[in-house]
Amino acid sequence: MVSKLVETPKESKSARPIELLMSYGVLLIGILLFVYFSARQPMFYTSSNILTILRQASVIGLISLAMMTTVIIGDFDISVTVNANFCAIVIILLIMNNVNLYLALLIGMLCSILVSFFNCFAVVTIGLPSFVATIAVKFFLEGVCRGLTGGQQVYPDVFPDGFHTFGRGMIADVIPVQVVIFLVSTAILAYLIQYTRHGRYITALGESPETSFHVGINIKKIRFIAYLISGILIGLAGIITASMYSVASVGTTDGYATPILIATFLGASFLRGDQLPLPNPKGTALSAVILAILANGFTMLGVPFYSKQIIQGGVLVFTVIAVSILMNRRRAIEATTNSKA
Amino acid sequence: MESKTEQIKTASAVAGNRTSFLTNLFLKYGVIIAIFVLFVIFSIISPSFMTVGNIFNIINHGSIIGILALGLTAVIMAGEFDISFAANATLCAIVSIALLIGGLGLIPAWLLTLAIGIGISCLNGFIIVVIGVPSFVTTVGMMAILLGVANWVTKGAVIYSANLPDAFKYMGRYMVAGIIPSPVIIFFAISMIMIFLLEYTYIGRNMYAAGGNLEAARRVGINVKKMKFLAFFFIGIMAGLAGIIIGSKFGAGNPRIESSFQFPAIVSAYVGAVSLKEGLPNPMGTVTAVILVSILENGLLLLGAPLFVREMALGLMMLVAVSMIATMKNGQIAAVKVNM
Repeated sequence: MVSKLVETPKESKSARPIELLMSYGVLLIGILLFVYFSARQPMFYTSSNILTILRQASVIGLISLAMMTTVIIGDFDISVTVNANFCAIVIILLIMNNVNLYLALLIGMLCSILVSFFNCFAVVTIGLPSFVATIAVKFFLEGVCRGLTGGQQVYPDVFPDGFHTFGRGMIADVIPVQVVIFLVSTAILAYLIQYTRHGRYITALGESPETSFHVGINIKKIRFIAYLISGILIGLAGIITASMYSVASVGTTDGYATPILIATFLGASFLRGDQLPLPNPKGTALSAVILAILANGFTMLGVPFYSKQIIQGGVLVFTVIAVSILMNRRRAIEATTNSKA
Repeated sequence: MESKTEQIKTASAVAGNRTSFLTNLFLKYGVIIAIFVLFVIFSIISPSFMTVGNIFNIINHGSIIGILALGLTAVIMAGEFDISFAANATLCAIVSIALLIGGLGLIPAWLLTLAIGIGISCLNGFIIVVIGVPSFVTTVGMMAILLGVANWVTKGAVIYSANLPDAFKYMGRYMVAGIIPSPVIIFFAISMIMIFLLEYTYIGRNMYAAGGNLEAARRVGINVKKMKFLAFFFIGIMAGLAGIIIGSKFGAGNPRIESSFQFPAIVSAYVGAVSLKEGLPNPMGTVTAVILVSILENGLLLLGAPLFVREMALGLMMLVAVSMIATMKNGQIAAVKVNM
């Protein structure tokens, strides 16, 4: 007698309407928002404003890509925003002490990578749960940042040549530098994850850690690679932040915290159709742009900061609930259909 | 050929108990030892430390942290995490002031505040336990919403009023018998209740089970979902209560106060796991950890150490504590994976 457990599930394996909605809905929402804000506030649809949106999206996007990389493998790095700010502060302080520009940038990025490595060490080697370890690191780093800047806004009097290219320069007078960096990083990351061996291992580790272990993937090495990539991306974000704002201050990147989380999860369903929702570079990048559009639009319309906070928080809760339900549903479908084979 | 049980007994007898008496003592009572050591050090360095007034200052500040940390202890015992409790408490504090300004009576205002704190936490519990979203992401999102609402109610400023009822001060500012601040009494009462519930009744044991091996707990007959939800219920009560005390103590609703309670409470909950129970989060350990954290903060403040030193010290303390938990005998922090 066939038990009820292995009956054909009523739902087919192909994409359900709600999955399709999440799949392309993100893109649709972005376009709708853009149109809405342009209609409500004419100043929104100017080239300078669009450039501002893209500039903001670049920093948010890079840090989101960094968080996304660790979230794929199942860890959660909540210290990414403070890490990027730490890098920016280090760069500014070094420049104030007349260190060569490129050396300063390199050291800044190394600092971010070091913090990422420490997180990796805590999570992989010692075996701490990722959010606990990274919360502690986040507060510790905040203290370090506050100590380095003395709680003030620190800025140098003279900037070396080329300092502002990352944050304010343009390529071909049309595209801001940081946007190019952001798009290229997304493309490289997407290529790495989809077409290289280790990239596919990262995805495999994310989809099913047990299977990865039994297949023989070196899990520690893969996790290390993920944290390395994350650290590099955060370093890039720190460089751009330093160049954009030109000051070293404690709370510079705090406003990015919620959008980054949203971007990481909102992009999970993007273009995945009937596959398991998993954070992916293209989705994350697109979500970052959409969130930048949202934030900019709110500012243009004069929405008070607390409403922005509430809405962003609401979007985050909604996103994680939706992605969670979709993942559970997809896992259940795949489990029942696979067990029949 | 020995039997299986005898083989196992021999193996564990050889493997376990390698640690010496002194190491065991240190591991179990390390936090309490640290409390005495810090107390002595700070008394020597700073003359104003060891005054009666200052000691009550320490416990006064620590009471609010302690109430929150006890709630968090229940949640991490049950295997989840909540980062929104401080925002919850802040919002409750603001709501209590706003309700009183709006003309509501004292007791109804406080009861409503408590209900709101519980309600928010139960919403968290619902999303986490019923819908199944990982606890960390949910509570991060909820924290953003709560802080946003807090700022919305106060329009970003601090709300206060000169016309608050006189009895308002009883929860936060009143000195029982002239010297003991009321938050201390409340904290004492709460910790007695929580220690009793979590250590000596089935609630605590079942929560540990729910936080450990879900499948085993379920098969033994423990309602895992109910236990986890109960934990969020507890932290909701704590957040509401702490909010009332904060509102009463400061007489004002300040959205920015969240950061001064959030991390010390989190640190206390995890350092508490190192204390007395070798890796298991437990309420008595949390109380000792709260005392330790309060002494540390107060001492550094009296020494004039800048804010960042306190932040770094707490961060370091948490890293050390959590690393110790990972290697300790009973070490069990739910490794909640993000990949739902």
